[in-house]
Amino acid sequence: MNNKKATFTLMILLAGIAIIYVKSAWALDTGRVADYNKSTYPLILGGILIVLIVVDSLQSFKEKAQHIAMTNKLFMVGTIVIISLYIFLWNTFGYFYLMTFLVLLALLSMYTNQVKVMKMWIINGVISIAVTVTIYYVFGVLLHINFV
Amino acid sequence: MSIFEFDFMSLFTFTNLAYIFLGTFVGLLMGAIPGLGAIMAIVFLLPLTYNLEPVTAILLLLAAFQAAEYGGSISAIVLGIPGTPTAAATVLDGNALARSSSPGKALAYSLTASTIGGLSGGLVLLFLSVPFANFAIKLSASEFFLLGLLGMLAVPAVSSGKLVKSLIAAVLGLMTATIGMDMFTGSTRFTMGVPDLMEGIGIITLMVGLFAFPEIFQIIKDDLYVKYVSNSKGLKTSISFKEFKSVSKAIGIGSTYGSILGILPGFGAVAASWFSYATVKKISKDPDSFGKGNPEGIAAPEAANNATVGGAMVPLLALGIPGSVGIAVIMGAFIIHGIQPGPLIFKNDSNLVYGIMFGFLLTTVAMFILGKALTPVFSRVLTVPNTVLVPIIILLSIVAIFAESGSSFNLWMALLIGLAGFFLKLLDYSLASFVIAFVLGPIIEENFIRTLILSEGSYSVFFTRPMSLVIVLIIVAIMVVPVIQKMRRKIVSNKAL
Repeated sequence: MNNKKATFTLMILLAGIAIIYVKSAWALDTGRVADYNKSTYPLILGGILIVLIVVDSLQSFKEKAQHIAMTNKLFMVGTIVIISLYIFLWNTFGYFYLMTFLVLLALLSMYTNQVKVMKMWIINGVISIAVTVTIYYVFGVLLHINFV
Repeated sequence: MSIFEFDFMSLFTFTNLAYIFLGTFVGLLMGAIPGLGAIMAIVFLLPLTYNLEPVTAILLLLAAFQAAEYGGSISAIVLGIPGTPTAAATVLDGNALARSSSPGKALAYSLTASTIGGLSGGLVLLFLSVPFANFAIKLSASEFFLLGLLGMLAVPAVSSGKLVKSLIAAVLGLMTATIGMDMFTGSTRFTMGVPDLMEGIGIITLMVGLFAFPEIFQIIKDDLYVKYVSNSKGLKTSISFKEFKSVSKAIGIGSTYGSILGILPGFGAVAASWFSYATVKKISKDPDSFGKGNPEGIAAPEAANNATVGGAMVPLLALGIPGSVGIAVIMGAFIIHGIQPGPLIFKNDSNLVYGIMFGFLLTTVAMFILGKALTPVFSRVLTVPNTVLVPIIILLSIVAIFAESGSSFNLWMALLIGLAGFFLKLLDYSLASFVIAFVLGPIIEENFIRTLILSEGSYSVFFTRPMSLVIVLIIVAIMVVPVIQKMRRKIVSNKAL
């Protein structure tokens, strides 16, 4: 990944956010509080953001492009997928502690990357159980949080 | 009630002491593990504060903050890797002394200096907060608005070389703070029709999203298979009186720098550590011994980084302006409990304020006791591989967010914020600026609107009041001076060519 391209992509995204924000702020202009128009403050923020995006884009344009190394890309994507699945499944079916145990086991197995070694499964299983039990005791028992 | 009328003994309840020791334990552990540190320790403990009394909650977080500052030196000394950015100066002499003599001796210098630094910061908090608050009570809404801006601008301006990127992050933080209910009209705004956003983005969701997830992705990206080798021999942390005397001057310098620089927004523990290290080296009779295991090179920065914690609490309590990111997160705990820090807190909630001030001294004592007992244990914990640590941090982050809100929407939100935070950090946008702006956002907006209402819509009020004008000039100086310095450096380098 190139830092210049990444910055410009981000700038376009931020500009989009700024435009949506300013548009929404404009729509707020339906009432006044004493002598103050309630869309003024958000409009100022949106305006400043747009100016800063322009300045940053100009500065980035002058800078030399540098390569940003993205090592372990697969692990990052894998982690995001596992977390997303975890939230989705927990939200849909419940069984928080079971899901927690499984997600821990999945992450540990992915990172240790030794799926065929039985010993690793046992170690990862023990760690997963220990962490799940600790979460149950601290949050479930001591803090009375109902994870459904 | 005055400060001397406070019943100090009321702090000695089982609950208070238990949570102070818990905070210290977590702070030491997280400070010691490279990549985690003080902010993560505070963020993880934040959900626990919901069911606590405000004074216990704040002391829990302050204990973690203090202990993490010392904890950072454990990995700096034993592994040669600073556990927190503030321990970077400690690596130079700490690791050298650990290799040449014994890690225990180096850790003892660090613990002693951290304790004295912490106490010194506590005394500054105790004696300067009231005069600051008395001064602050005379300030008007326009000055509070400007102080909010100053607090927001000072941190990125001092800590980062990329001012525009920091300002973008800060404006994004301010914009995020406007999501939810308008405090003057009660109408919702910028929620895009999502009912979960009616009360804005939760502080824990944001903190975990911005600090924990980007840190996790960073570790996966760069350090997933990094192996640390810890020297587990000679870890007994004790020094003789003679050895203590030899570093007392360095501790004094570090404590003074830390306490003073802690008060000024932006000059955090990192700057204080390096300033005190440089000063001690400069005035030393043997400057060549620095970097080769000189105990003064450990004592000065360690005293400084702990002293900044107490110092940074002064502007928070007296003005309602956090002086550092860690204190901004602690301000979140005040907000969770419906308390607005600022000069009026001394009048409305004096028991809480004085409880925090005196309790702060207890957190330092707890750090010394647990530090002395557990440093050898934590030195061994450092070797836990990141492949094990990362899944545990991910799960704790998710549990922390759910504990705050009980809503899965906030989990998705935190994941999204985490991804955005990771890319922003990768491209040098300051997450610290974002958080400080988010915390200061409501103060800035409220005082901005109040000022305009009082001045009947006139903006001249920001320049006609002398105090306002002084703050405006300071803000302008903070923004302009780095630009002038950069231009001057460019001219000098062009001339040299």
